[in-house]
Amino acid sequence: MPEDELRVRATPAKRFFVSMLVKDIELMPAIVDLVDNSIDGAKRLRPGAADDRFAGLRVELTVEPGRFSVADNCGGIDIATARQYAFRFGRPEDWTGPPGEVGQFGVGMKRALFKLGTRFSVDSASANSRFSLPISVPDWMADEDPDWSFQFSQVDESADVPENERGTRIEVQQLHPGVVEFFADRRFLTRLRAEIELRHMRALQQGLIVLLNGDELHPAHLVLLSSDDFAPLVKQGDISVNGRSIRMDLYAGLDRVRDQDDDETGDPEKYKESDAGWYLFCNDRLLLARDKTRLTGWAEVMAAYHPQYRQFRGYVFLTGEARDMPWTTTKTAVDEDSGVWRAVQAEMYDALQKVSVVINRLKTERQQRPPEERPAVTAMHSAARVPLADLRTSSIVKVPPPPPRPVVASNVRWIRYSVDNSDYTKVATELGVSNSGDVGRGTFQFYLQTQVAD
Amino acid sequence: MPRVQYAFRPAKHIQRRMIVDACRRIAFLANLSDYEYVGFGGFEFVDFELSHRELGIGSMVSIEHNIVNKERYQFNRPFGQIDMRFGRASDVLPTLLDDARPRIVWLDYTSRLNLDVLQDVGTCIRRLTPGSIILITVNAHPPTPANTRRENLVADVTNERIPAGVTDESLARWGWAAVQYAILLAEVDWQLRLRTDGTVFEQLFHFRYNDDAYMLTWGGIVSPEGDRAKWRYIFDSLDQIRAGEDPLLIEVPVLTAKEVMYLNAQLPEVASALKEYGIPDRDRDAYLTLYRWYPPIPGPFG
Repeated sequence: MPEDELRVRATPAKRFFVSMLVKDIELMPAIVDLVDNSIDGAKRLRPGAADDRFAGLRVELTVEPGRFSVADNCGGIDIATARQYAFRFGRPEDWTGPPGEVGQFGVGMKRALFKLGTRFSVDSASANSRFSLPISVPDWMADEDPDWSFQFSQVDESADVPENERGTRIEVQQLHPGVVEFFADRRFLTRLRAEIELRHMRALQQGLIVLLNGDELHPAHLVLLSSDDFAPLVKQGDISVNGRSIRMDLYAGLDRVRDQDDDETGDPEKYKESDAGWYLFCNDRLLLARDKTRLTGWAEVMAAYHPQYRQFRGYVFLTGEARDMPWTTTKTAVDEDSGVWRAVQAEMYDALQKVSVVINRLKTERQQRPPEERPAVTAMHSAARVPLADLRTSSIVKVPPPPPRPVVASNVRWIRYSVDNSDYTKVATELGVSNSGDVGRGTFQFYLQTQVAD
Repeated sequence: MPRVQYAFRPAKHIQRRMIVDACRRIAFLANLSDYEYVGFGGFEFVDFELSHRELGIGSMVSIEHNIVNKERYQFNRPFGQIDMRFGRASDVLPTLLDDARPRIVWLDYTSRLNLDVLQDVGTCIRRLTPGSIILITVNAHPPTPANTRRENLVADVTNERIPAGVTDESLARWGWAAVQYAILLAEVDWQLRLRTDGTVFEQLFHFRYNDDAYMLTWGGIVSPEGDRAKWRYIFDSLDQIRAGEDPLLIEVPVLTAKEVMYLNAQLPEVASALKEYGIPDRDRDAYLTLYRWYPPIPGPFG
């Protein structure tokens, strides 16, 4: 049989990239992806790990119904990178970025732009080059040349660009109608703001200025409760899988929350949206936030998430080469087949179990002991909210030993009832206690002591 | 349920002797005195007695979930070396296993296999130091009424862990133990994925017995991939080892001391001539399979 008859066409169609690939990503992560590109530039520019490494660098996002742009002064894209990598679909095998980068697959920027609109431009200035690349998606689709390409409108390969002019500006002029709707929605903008503040917390903490429609974003600050006798689990070291190695910094413990001593939280919906859970950062990019699912051990190595655990916070930071990170192309989920992820999962399981033991201790003390005999609760209350960087390494969650007097659990009866809220407040104030358990015990004791014969 | 003295549970006692006997062979490849024994000692500490006297293990940890009378547990320790840890196994194990050393861990539950038990199995499989033995005992008695068996199993372990084809009928008699065994194996595979040190699990023990309820004991060794064949060679020649889904059913024949001495004297050929003394074939055959672990008949000084 001649060769040609054995041949089956597998050439990709442009439509696949423009219409299908974008369905795998939501609008918000697509925008966060573009911010990733700017931050990767900032990392190349300032490779150190100093707390203010990004001082002076900024990313300006404009998200309006008629216009989208992202502009940065983070070093720009040099002409070689633009030619060989930035606009190709998929990253060539031999193209290796510096360690610590988020970009890996060679898909994020193109996919994000296709997601947003049909006409866009990328202008960039690096130390020794400048280029402008306008793209009209309908014109590009119409071009049937099997050798896909884009055309620079301007190229200067021998420029000497002053440092303050180096950067990239991406502009999308013709937004998709669905995108326009979102951009006109105030709540979308609020969510986008919160999303970037969370996802790019590390870069913001390290001095990067991100402006969204002119307003500066502020990073969330990560803390855990800690003191001499109440301290979180902190584990730092390398994880090696199949000869590849990445660094892991894991912090797991408790944070202060509203109504933290209230154990009457039977309604699981009440705290469903709480900030409790696991946070996973890969090269400082937040991959999982507030995770309370089986992925991170809930209902897997312990009970399912329940309001009782709403003080739990776990933070994992992985640092290494982009190709070793357990992320998917959208950077919103974990690649569960990754060997690194399984090793990290085992560490998270262990930490979650150890912290849950302490949370259960707190509950037992509150339910079974008078306020003066609750060493763990007392220690938790007096612990300070300490930034992660100031915590000391510890393979255990530190908590004071239980009080000596044994609890006679079999000789206990539970009482549960509800009362009018304002009556409750009056009685609680009169008794000088702050949680419903103590109100119940106090009123019961009163009746027992004054009304019941010995 | 009040704890029954172990002497009244003959099958369990024989099983315990079979396990300790097999564990002696660890010494072919490792130093038994490096091992720590971790169990649920209760007031009797029978397995601790055996581990210390027969295996020479000096470091011992007893996990006791009953914290009401700590003093009494402390008092009843047969050896001062036994370190009492009060709390549920799932509270104690994560921290206990931080200290990397080989262990023999026997989680001897009286409950059926449930999510708490699976959590503890998971912790052990993920975290035991290679060379360690893990054993799990669970109640395998099918609950009643019969038409709620599967429903009960779902409540115990959740629907997603139950293999295909399990029905109320298939859970009758030892069917419940068979499913618990399958669930344990699946859990081990799942948890092993999370180990990145190339550790494997080799099943060594699979017992069923029925003293006052159907019980399942299952276990094995966590081993570096490279030692797998050595451990198999060391253990597989023993009669009490079961590496697969066929269990060793421990049926203890009820015999008089005189019958036992008579049977012992006929070994290794126990002829059918025994019939003339009225010993049922079934009891005779059962005795043959486990006579080496049957409690010895006391001698003049015993």
